[in-house]
Amino acid sequence: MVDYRQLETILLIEDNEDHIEHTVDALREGGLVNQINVIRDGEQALQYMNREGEFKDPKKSPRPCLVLLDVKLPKIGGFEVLERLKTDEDLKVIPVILLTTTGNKEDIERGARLGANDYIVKPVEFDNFMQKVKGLGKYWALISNLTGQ
Amino acid sequence: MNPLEALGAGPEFSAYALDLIPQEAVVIDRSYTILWLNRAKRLAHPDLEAGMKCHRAFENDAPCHFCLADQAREIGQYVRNPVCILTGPRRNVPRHVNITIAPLAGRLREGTGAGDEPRFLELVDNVEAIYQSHSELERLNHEYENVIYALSHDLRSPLISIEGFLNKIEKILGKPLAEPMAHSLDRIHANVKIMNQLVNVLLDTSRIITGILDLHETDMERVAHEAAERFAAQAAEQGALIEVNGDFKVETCDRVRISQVYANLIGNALKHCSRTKGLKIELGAGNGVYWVRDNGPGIPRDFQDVVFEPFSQGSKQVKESFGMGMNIVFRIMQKHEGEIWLDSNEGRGTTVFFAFKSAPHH
Repeated sequence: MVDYRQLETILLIEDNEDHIEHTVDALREGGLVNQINVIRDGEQALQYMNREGEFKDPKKSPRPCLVLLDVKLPKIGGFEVLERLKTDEDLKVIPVILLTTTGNKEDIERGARLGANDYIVKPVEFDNFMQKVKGLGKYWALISNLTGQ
Repeated sequence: MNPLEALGAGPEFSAYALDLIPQEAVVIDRSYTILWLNRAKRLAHPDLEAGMKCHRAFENDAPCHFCLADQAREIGQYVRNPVCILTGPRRNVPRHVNITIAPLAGRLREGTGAGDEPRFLELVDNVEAIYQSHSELERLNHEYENVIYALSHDLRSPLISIEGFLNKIEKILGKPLAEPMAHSLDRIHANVKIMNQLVNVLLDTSRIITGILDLHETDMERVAHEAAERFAAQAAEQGALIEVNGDFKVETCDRVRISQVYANLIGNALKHCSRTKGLKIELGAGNGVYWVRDNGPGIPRDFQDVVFEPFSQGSKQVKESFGMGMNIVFRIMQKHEGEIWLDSNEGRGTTVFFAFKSAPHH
């Protein structure tokens, strides 16, 4: 029997191709089998989340159970994306983990003020990722995929 | 009678002398009436003339409630108000000036029987240009900080990629690796780590130089204990002991930065005294001065003068050190308008002292 939770998607919003590869690798190597959709700029990220333009079809662009959001993005920056997600009545319940390369205190505080649920300093490592996920109530949705393998 | 006449100078000489003063100068009496204006004032304010109320009263149509002339009369000596912002109905744009008011008459206090009406010489320095350049400097600082921040992010980004691909290569190759390959990969890892640390230093230093201190009343004893606890495990590994002793005070300072001072000083002591048997690091305080003392090998005399300079390397045996720790500590104390100095004798240990500007010895 297929666990419905296996269909839950993680949305990775990141513009650096190398970092995308490492993040997806780290999550897969850790055993995560969730679908990971990748969006490469802030404008597309908002279109995806609002199901606009090329993301109208909910089957191709399912609402994610978790968003991994890079701070620095082209077109619309990560903080603005975060703010728009967290001020949207429908979307604000979706947990957002910020990805930062520097671990800059100001960035982390700004993210927290705007409603980010947590942050990870890149490179994303699976253990660290799962540690953060534990606190977000999404732990079982993800961990069930690990145990179900 | 012009002001220098009041002091006994001849009328021609005194008028000529005061006209030479580059600042705008007026003489007012105790009712704020202008008795005399020098050339600079006449040029700056062609509409002002003797007999009018002084310019601040003139602008606001009432004497200023916090009149410097009143203060000067009260204390019997000159009063200076650095950077006063002049506004008023006659000015659309605020003007930044320094105002100095000096009493001119010999007998200043009422009832002294001299019969002299106190007069005051008011000098106005226009500091608009300085103020503007200060604002420009702040803007440039902010821009500089943004550049450093963007740079440190962009520098770290490829490092994360390099590290990631290295890990991938290692996994593909599997372990154990043949020696030349293992060595090369180790060196790449080590260099990526160094580069990462350098980016941290860059970021840290720029934040301290351009950042604003988050000042709060801070219990220094607590900060010292927390720092000692943070290093307790590392110290135990080295067989070293960290002690907190002394008369610590509550200081107005940036707690995070002062924790960093302790961390850098303790970290330095542990690094540079790693060969000292029975190493003891004391975090002490007394008379408003704080110190971190070790019984290590001490700092060579010729290195003591440059120890607070950036990228100063005291010991070649210490790996993974850029010589920035003491410079960061120095900059933090400089930012607090405090002081930092050291006392060290080869073979007899080192004590680094620091004090805030409120300390008694200041």
